Amino acid sequence: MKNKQILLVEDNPDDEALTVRALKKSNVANGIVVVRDGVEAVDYLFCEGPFAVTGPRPLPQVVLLDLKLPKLDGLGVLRRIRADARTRLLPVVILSSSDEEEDRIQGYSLGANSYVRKPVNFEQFLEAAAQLGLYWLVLNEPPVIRNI
Amino acid sequence: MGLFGQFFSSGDFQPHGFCYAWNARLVWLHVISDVLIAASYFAIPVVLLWLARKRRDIPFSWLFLLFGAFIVACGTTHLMEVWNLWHAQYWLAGAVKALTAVASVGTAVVLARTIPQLVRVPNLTEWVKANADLEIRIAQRTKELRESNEALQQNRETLGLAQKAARMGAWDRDITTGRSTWTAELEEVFGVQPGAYNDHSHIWPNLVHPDDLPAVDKAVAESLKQVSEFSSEFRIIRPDGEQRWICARGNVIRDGQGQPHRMVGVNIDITERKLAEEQIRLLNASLESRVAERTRDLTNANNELESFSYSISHDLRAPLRTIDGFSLALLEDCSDKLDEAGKGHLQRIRAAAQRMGALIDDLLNLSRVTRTQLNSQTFDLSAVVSDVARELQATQPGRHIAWKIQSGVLATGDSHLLRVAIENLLNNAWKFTSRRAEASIEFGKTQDNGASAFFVKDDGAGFDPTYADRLFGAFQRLHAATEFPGTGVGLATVQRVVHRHGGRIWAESTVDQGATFYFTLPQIDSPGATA
Repeated sequence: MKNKQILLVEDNPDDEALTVRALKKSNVANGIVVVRDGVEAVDYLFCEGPFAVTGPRPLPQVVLLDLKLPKLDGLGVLRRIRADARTRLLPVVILSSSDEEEDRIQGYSLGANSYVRKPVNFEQFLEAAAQLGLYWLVLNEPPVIRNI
Repeated sequence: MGLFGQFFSSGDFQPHGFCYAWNARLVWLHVISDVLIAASYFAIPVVLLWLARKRRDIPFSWLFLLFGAFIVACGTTHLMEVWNLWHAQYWLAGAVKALTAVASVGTAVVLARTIPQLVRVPNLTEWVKANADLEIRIAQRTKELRESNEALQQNRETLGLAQKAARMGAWDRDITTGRSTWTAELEEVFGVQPGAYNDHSHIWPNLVHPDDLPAVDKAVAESLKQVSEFSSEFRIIRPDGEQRWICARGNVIRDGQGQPHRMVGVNIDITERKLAEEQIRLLNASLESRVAERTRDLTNANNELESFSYSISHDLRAPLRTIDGFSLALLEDCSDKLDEAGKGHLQRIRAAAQRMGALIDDLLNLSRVTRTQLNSQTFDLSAVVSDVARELQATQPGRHIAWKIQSGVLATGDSHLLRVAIENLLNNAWKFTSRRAEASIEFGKTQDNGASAFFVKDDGAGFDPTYADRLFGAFQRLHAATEFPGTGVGLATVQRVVHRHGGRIWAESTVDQGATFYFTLPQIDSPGATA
């Protein structure tokens, strides 16, 4: 069976709850891991710090990355992901409040696979989450499934 | 008897009257004739001598003397004829004749030799004519001289005026003696007494500003050394203490041996120019600093606006999402515990959150119009209008709108911002025609007072022209939100886009008669960019 885990990087608990709720409603993920700042995200992905494990662990299918994060911001996390050979091809979707051109250009420049703006209207948010899940977890074929 | 005695002796000879047989008549005929001839012969030389003395200009006057001598001799021979009528001193008469012969031959020879010269002497008519010609020529030359003198004087006056007007004067300095000649105008510029500037080496250093003197001296020395043109600007301090700026130009003139011996040139009073330059420099400097200050302020304001917008974009929407999201969650999860009124309240909360979300988005768009850099290009605005119209029609395919879009209308400006403007204008037209079963929306270009203006025209609800000035203010709405929804930022955004292009925007309308929005983009009217 395919690994259908999603890594959600989100510091706002309200947004976290709403995103998790939306993803669950869309019923595509079999696991959502939530980390709450940039450093935690990097530690989780590279099995470092509190996330150090003994055995190999599969990478998530997709990372949903907020931009405004404590410690290390979203773009910093993305830079680390793209700089490491193990995660260089990992799909990353930026999930941001803003649609500032500057953010979008920087996100794509650093190798984001997609940029989605979180709408205020929760119905629209639900729809976006459903489409995201469907696309990245079902339709999209990742380059390689590997463990870390 | 000696030779002398024989000379005056009658010897054996008979007096000459004897030959006339002492015929009294014959004797007296000879006597009277000879005496008259002699008298005439003696009178003629006297007249000739008198003439020669009176008219010393007559050429060949010495000839008169010669003639005189010759005629006196002739006269003497005739007197001897009379004398010998009664005396027989024929030796004496012969000697007198011999002398007369010598004088005659001499006169003849001299005359013969002088003839060619005499021939060349002009006659009186010629003299008179030549004289008259000379008079005419002299008069002519005199006239010419007077005219050229007048012209010279005029030139001098003009030059003087020109020098005065240009605040300049000329100088001429002998390098070896140091003597200088200054024109009156130059004396005036330097404020020195007429003729006072005669000793260059002593007066010059007192006139030039001490700070500038070394540089001027160096320029002069260099010019003399190179025998080249000399040019320098310096300050002078006039005897009355006034300081002035001088621009000096000069040249070195060589003597016959090619050695520099004079320097001539002009000095121009450039005080006013220098003052103006200084003023311009000061103005420029203050302008520069003001521009720099303004730029700094603007940059700061822009940076502030940038971070402000960024913060709004990220942080202000998140709570709205929470309000909306959890209101919906409440409606979904606790619907059995809520009555209709409770559900209604939650719907209002959600609607408000969403409206505020829309407001924030519109405000951000408005500020983005100011923040983004203009990338000007000429493009097909009609194509943009058609594109936006298609998108609008797709949101409500059921609406009947007659789109009249003039094709091929070109615009010069930022295509992204102008699209935002067109979106807002068409959105408005779309919104305010929503109550009509059939409506028309038109786009095109028209001439307004000679300038071309773009327009978007609809036949919708229109607006009361009394409030036309409030149309373009942010958050200004002329219709109730229940009537036509909106944030009131759209037209403010359009106006800002047009203003950023240096254009103008205005609208015409009557209630229920539709509205027409006009805008201009100045660039499009420039030659070569017309549609």
